[in-house]
Amino acid sequence: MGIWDIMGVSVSALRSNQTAMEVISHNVANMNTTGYSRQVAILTPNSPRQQGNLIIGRGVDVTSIDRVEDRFLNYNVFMGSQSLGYQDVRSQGLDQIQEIFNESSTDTGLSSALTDFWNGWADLAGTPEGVPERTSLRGTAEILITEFNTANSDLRTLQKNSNTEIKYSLTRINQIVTQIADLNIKVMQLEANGQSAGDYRTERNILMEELSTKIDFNYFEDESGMVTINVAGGLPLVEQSTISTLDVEADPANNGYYNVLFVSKNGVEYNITDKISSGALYGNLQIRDEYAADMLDRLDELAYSIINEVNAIHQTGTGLNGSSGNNFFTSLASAEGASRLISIDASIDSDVSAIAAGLSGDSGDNQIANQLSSLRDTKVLDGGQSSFQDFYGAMIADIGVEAQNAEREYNHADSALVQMKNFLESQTGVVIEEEMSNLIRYQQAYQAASRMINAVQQMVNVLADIV
Amino acid sequence: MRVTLNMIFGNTTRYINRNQQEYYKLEEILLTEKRINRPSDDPTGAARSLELRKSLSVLDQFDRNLGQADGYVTQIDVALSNTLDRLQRAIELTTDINGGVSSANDYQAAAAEMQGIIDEVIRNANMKYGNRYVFAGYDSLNPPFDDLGNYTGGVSGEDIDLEVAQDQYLTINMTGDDVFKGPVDVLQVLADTRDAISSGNQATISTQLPLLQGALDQIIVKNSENGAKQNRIEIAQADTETMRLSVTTILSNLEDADIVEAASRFSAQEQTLQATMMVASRILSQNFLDFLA
Repeated sequence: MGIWDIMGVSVSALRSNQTAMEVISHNVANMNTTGYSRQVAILTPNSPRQQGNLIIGRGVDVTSIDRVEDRFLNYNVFMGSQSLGYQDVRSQGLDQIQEIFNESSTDTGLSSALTDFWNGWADLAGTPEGVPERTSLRGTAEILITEFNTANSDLRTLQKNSNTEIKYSLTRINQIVTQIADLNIKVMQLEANGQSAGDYRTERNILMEELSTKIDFNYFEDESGMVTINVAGGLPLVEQSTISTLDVEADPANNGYYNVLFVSKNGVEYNITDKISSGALYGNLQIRDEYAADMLDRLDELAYSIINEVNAIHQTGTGLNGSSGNNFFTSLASAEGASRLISIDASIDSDVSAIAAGLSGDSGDNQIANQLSSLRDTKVLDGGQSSFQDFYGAMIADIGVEAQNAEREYNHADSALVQMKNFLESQTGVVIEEEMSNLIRYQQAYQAASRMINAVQQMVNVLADIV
Repeated sequence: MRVTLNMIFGNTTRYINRNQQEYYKLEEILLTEKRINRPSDDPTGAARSLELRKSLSVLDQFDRNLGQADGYVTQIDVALSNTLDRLQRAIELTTDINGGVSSANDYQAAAAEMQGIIDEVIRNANMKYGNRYVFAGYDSLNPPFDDLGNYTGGVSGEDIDLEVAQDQYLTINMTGDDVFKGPVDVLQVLADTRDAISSGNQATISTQLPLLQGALDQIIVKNSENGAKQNRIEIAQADTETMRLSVTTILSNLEDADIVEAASRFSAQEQTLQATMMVASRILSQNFLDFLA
């Protein structure tokens, strides 16, 4: 009762409004912090006291500092980030593959090397006696081999890069997972004491968003405020404060490229390579094991088929030096790696006159050269449906379509994520006008409360004068 | 909807970036003057352009083959024309002798000239194109006829074919046994005539005349066969040229950018970009703090 109660109420107002302004300054300070959710000081009147039959208020207090949150939007952003992380890696990878086969702006490349090779045989058919024609034909074969080798090595370099990326992203995932488990404990401890863990939650959200760009996962938050994160359809990467790790293992069945292993907290290993279905990790796996691998297979098939078809005809002929039954290309046991292993047969490499232009070996016989030149249009691939050129053209068209789709899907995923992030930002972001208006509000309340204290002081002085 | 500064900044940079991407694409089209700069720009078009480039390269090859064929066939034409000329002289000479001569020396002189004709015909039968004997079949580096006119070259059927149009082959050579040895053995007829003249036996000389005419006819037939090939080469050359023109046109339609369209889109894009930047500068300069005292 009495004058000092007014003082107490005013002091609570000073303190509460000051805290509210502190929250505003925190918001303003974090205006540009990625993933930051604005905070709001919740002011509540103190429980009143009873004086006689009067109920008199006892001022104000900040009961909590709430963090504006929208869990549904957060979930959408995580899913959108997984999709974008995947599409980003996929479209870049496909872009690189199509650059390997890009002949649009030049007259070099596998297709023109192949045509030059058939033309080399046609030139030899024109002058079957010629040694210069044979040397030049061997030259076109060497260029063809170089084109095969280059495309092969570029594709394998791309696969190796993806493979390294996979290892790096696992290292980062393990770091993120450790940090999330730490934050789980901090959130749980603070909130158990009834305190606000807003900034820890923000930090955890930022980490989960980064995690979602790398790998697909499901998650839920339990009553204690801790999240559990499951990958590969139900293996717990983070479960409250315990973590599992991801590791790699070289797969001998896949050129020694890495499999992704899930190592549980008890040290049990699961191969989850096939169960990853989004995020950058999936993008890298897909580039390595599907797109680049598929192009390599088709390149090998093309090379292998050229080797066999050319050899089959060349063997029936006789060289200028009288030797017959020679291979033109070194014969290979299987298509596996043919685009890397393709080489000119030793007999021809050491002596171009072993190149057979004719059946008989007579200097003017050009029958074999004509047959080989006409392989240009012979339909030998895809079960007699496609010429070499058709087969290669289909490779180009397919990779072009994939790259085109990937670019479209990347743009789509990008716009979708931007939209979701804007929704989230609209809910949780800091609007400077809003904060400044609130600042003025609290500032004025603070000034008014100061006035109250001033008034109390004057009242006390008046009383003192009387005494 | 609450709009934060982050959203405004984010949207602004995104729109500018999107405009610049479009700007960059148009720049690439204008600089390369090509519509297709990578397979994804037009996947089927890219594959088709490879096919068309291949066609152009193959047409170049047909041109080279035709050049080769032309040289070869022209050389045969020279040989056969010379041979015709010499056979006509042989017929004239024999006809003169057949009418009677004044002295035995005249027979010997005529026989000597006949030997000259034989040598000349053998020289033409051993005609070369570069280092290749055109009448030798596959045994192309050795002279097919010896000094006595015996034939050692490749046999009939040793065709040297060249592809002069898609899947069309032209046999550019003729073997010496077909031309000079059968059905009429031209060199034998000439040798017999020489011997008949040398012996001065009018009866045998006169029997040689129709044989000489037969030899002449055989070479005329061969020469016109060869002439037909020259025609075919000329037609094929013209066809190749027409094809090249049409393939080049198709390729250009497929690959080349419509510069006028690209340029007008480029300037439209430029205006959009400028407008975006202007709007951005207006929005970003709005500051609530300026209105607070």
